[in-house]
Amino acid sequence: MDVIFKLATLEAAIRLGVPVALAALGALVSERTGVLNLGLEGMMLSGALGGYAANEATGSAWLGVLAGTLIGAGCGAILALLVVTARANQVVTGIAFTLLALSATTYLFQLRYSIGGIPPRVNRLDMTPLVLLTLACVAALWFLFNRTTLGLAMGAVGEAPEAADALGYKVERLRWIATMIGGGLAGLGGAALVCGPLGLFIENVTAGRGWVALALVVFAGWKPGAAVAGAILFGLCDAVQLRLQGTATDVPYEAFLALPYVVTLVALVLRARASRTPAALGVPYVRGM
Amino acid sequence: MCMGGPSLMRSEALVEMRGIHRRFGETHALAGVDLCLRAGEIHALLGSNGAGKTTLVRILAGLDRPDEGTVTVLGEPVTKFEPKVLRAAGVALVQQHFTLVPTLCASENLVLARPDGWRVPRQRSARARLGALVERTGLTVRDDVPAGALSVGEQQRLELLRALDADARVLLLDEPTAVLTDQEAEALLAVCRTLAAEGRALAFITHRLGEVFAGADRVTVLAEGREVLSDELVTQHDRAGLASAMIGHQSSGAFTHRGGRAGDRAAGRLVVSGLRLGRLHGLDISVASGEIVGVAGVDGNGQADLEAALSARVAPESGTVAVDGAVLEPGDPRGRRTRGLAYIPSDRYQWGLIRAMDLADNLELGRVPRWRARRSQRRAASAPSLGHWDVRTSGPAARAATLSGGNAQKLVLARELDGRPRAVLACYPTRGLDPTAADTVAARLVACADDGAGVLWIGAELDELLAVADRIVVLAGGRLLGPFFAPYDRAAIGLAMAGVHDGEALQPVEAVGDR
Repeated sequence: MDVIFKLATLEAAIRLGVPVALAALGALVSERTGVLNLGLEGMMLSGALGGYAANEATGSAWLGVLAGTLIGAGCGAILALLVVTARANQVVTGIAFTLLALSATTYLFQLRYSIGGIPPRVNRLDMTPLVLLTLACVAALWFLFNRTTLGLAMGAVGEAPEAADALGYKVERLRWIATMIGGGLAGLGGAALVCGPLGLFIENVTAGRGWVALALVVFAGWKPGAAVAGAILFGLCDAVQLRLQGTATDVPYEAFLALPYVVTLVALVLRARASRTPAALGVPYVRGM
Repeated sequence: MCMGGPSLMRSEALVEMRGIHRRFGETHALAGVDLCLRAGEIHALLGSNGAGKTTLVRILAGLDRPDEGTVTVLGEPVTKFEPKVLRAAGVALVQQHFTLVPTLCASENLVLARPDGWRVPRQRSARARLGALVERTGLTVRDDVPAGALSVGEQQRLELLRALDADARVLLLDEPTAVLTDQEAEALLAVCRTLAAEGRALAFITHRLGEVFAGADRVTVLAEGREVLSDELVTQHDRAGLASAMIGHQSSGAFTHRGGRAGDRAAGRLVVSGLRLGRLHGLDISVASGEIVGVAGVDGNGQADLEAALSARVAPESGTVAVDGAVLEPGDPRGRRTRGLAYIPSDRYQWGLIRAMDLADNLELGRVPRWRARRSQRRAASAPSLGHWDVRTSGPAARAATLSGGNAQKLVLARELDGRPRAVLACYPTRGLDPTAADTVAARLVACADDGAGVLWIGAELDELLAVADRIVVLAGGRLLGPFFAPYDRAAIGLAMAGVHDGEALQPVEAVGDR
């Protein structure tokens, strides 16, 4: 069993956890303002494909990461248009967005790369800058929510939109900003996956990591640092199961594949009562009597 | 009491609203209203529920816009009705439902309202800002807990502090005293005096005539979106005059007086025996046919438990409730309804109506036959009932949420009392209603008793119970004291409410309120 506790496992945990951590931070930003982003998985996928394509076209992994972020932010804008401005149901819209993104990325990827050829490998980034980037995001978000007026207003919009509105804050604008930042971070997470450890895009490459990120936000009680810690925990489980697959041959490998998700679920249930949901999460704001 | 004299000397007009119209669909909420607020004066806005008072102050705070009319603040005409614009112009509104962010503490709420640049100040300097403000105004508020955990009085003080932090010259208060104890209300009026003396213009909305005379210099009375009295000096009026202006007709002591009719005591229609639940220590009550029994007392002495047990929402620890001799199944509201015990809940929006449903559906709730008629038929069928119970609305298709407080209560009455119930449990049936609506509700319950029902009326206002009840019992410390019969001895009932009966002192009555 001591194969699990090697330093390599920890390194793998961080490698696998970083994309999830970035997406979780993205979900956290929009949820703090009351927008539930169930399109997170789809935004990760879109960012992943965008990052892959830009990387492949330019040969620069960093440009890939940048493209993924921008595409994610664009996805965030689409979601904001639907759920903030048009006040569509956030649950249904988010899920629909993810389903659409899954089909669209698969189609575009096959159209461009896999028909009559093997998809090319792309340049890979080292883990260290990506880890530093993630930590910088945590610090930036902490600063945003604790030290800036914008962050304070975002939190107010997620807790008591009527109050924020009465004070002259633009509820819809703040939710737009947060949803776009959130989408950008999700796209960055997706791009970090394909331009980082993987160096490759495959169909449904995120494999539910966006959903895990959504769960982690609840688990983390909407705190950036805790969300990243949760993501590393998820990465650790992922790393461990990869190793266990190689050693324990008498157990079906699907059981190991499920491990990180099961651990996430259990952690979520255990923490469920400890954290407080933003009061206006998922509720469109309508000014009224 | 009113000190209009000196403040009139510098009555510079800070706010002028002229010919304000506002329509919400069919309703003409404001039909040409003028309002003038002057520096150094307190202006009372008086009127029944739905008269348009709140709409008027919301417009002035930029939370709503007028369809017609002009608004001038400090000499500048207002062109853009946005909260930010009017806050910058120096107008602050303390709404009935507070607009604090419940997860932020007091000093953070101040920072949110008036941020100083893009960076949030450190906790120490935010606290210093709050401290300075508290010292200047004498309004105390804790800063170590989130605003949501503060008492209602404290939250209101924080709202005021926030308005004063922005140095608002025009302060609007929407029913500021509705949620306060008498002492807190008195203190608030004193603070308002001080603020007016500093040269601010204040306006407050109220239902309570006493506060107009205690606190205001001028008064405007609204009724159905129009001004009945406009910008008049309070000293030129008396209570009766203002009351009649508010109600629209001369009211004779507000409630239908009713003699102490004995009823047929032998046959108790509603019989409660040995009821124990929460604070209740074995209550026995019997209400006869044609009788109204009033349950007086200070809130928090077991009233909530009594309501929960009798409405069969909660099963009591022991004891029974019987209607016409048939014992109700504990904790079975449907059984209660089929046995003929109607229930007017203390909170009509929590237990009485479903706001999102239309009036016809609300009328059918709890008495739906297995198969329902077509929607058009249901709506048509509900129209006579709505008419009979005088629910004023655009029609059976309107949602319950669109009703004013009085009409919502009439809708509850229409459903609960229409089927000629054997007994009625009425919990604070007139709470939050304007005098006209309260009078109507009381008259309906009296009529119901005249029709043979036994009515148990849990009330907060003694005067009202004295007027309608045939017999009064007092609920204090979870026990019933009395009964008292007409002609009532107010002093004796008052003593009983304080927990003293026949010279014997009961255990002290605990603090008011359940919160």
